[in-house]
Amino acid sequence: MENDTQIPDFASRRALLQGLGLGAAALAGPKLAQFALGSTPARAAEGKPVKLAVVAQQMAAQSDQRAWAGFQQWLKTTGLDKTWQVTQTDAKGDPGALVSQIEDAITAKSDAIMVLFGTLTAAHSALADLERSKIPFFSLDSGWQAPALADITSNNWVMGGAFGQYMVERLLADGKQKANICAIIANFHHGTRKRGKVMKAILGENEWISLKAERVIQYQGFFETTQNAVNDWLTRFGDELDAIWCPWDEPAMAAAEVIQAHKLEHKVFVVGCDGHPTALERMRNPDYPLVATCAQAFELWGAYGGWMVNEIVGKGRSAKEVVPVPTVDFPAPLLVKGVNIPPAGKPTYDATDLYYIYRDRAVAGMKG
Amino acid sequence: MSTSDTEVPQALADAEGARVANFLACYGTVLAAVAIFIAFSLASNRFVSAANLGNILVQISVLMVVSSGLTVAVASGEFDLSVGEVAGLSGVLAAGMMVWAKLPVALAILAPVACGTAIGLVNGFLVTRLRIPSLIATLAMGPIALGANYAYDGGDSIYATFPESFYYIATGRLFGIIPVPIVIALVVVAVFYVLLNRTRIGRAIVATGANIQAARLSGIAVDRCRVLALALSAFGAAMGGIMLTARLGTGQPGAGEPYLLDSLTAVFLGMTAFKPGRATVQGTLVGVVIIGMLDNGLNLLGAPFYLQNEVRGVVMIAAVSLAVLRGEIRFF
Repeated sequence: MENDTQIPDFASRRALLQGLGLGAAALAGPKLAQFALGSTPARAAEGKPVKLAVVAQQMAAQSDQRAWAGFQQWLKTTGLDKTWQVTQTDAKGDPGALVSQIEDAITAKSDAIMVLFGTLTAAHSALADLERSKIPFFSLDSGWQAPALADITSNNWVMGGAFGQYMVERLLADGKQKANICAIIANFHHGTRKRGKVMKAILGENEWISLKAERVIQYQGFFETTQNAVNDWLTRFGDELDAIWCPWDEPAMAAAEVIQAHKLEHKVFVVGCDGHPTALERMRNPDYPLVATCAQAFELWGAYGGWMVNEIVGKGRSAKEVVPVPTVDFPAPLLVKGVNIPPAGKPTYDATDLYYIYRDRAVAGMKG
Repeated sequence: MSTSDTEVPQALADAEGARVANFLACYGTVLAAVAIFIAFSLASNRFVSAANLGNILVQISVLMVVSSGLTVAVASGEFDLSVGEVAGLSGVLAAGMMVWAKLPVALAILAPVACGTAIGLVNGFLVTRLRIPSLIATLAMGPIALGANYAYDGGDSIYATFPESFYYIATGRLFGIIPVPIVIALVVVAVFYVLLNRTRIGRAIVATGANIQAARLSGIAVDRCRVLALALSAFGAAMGGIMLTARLGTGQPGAGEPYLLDSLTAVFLGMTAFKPGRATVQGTLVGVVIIGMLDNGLNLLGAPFYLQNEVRGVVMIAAVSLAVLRGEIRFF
């Protein structure tokens, strides 16, 4: 078995986190696939041309765009863009359309199908059709469901713990013995739902933090809904509020905007998740209320998805060998404003996780 | 040659021209559907396969049911802008009743359909008793239904394994061949067709929609027709919502919302066919089929995802503008 199939241990995860030139490789283009995926253009070209159908749940989302960009970069870097036939559809957030588009890809006799950020638990009839069709099926952050060979994602339990616990520590650092927070809840996606559950578990262990209010949002119109909810909370609780927990960066930015409009940026902070470039760009401003996020490697997921399709479908390698466990979790470093936000232009997945900074200090000290 | 000699052929030509124009007015949209079918058949060798045609019919089955109900409302001269939310509500109710309340499948289907129909009756009450225009009454009812939806499921999807008999609605095959959703959709379409065209109450609904004053003077109980039409519209939406839940395999709070615009598109496209200017079930069926073929065909061709929206909009404008220019359709 080749070692390039997985990131098997802690050290190599760290290696990926720290980049070791991954950022430069991404910027340099041709090295991305070679370094991150162990797939050189020459090796990639050994495979047969693949007819791949990519079905996106919501191309308007930054995560979909970034994963798609990563996939395209991988395709170009490997030279497979000249031979592969790739079609892309967008369900525009409609779960019924997602099912139909998967069915269309089956009818079109695609060699492989890859779903981006779908809700596979809401694609029952399409999954049944996929099972019958035997077409190799891959997904990105869609919550693994059979018959998917792999779902590429981050570990949402871990991320929820990372930025949720950071919120607690930040409140402690601010000298709080009693704290009030509000939360935006998004249950429509498996990842954001899991992060919300972790947040509730963290609060259960920290009873000095009171969850004053929460607002469940749907994807449609989430930015405005979040702004309105936060506006109402700030009107209702004023400066009694200490923090706002958001399930991902885009509502976190919406919350931050409202906090700034109320001139409460030095009183109320926000935590989010995803590490979107826009959010990080704003976090470089010392007065911005969004203080922590986890940087998901969406571009790498797209590239890794392409690599897996090529290994299994293009080169005919055993799926079990390429994907030993069906969920492929990529690391997502915890980024904190003023501590480890990467400089502008550097890929967010190339940043060093907050806790690895502690570790590096310790290791450096031990080595002398 | 005398004047009368030249006038006769001219009159014949005019009559022939009128016949052609009339034929095109009635069947232009159908011909457009045929043209789309032929174009996709030539462009993609997979389009005309039996599997794909079945695929299209399955994909449009939910829209067919929701749009047929909406057609009845539009035929009565009313709009129902709550169909998407009613579909969403009935879908999560069915899921919740099976998963949380452990109700038998039949009851978990009937209760949400009854609930949806009741919403339609309330719409009818608002329109006929409180004299709120249906556009506004149903526009307001949409968020109320959505609120009830969120109150029931907390804004969360209802994930669980449903009884196999429920999945049969979406994935079953009658006699092992015909997909069940197609059968359900065709039955619903047939029922609505017969209702509007072959029953007294149906004709009364159509008469109410054509000219409410004349219908009233003719002794038709127009308010009863409007209430019934809105109730049937909500009934179709509720049925569609349940079919959608079976298709998705989960109760999705927002799953019904896209069906409002899709069903309105289908009904308006349908109003350009058969009896121009009138909402008919058969016309709506043509509209639904056009939408289904466009979505499927463009997917098969690997067209950029944004093209579906563009093409659907262009087809809608083309069909409706021709009818409007000929004075066959007048909105508002």
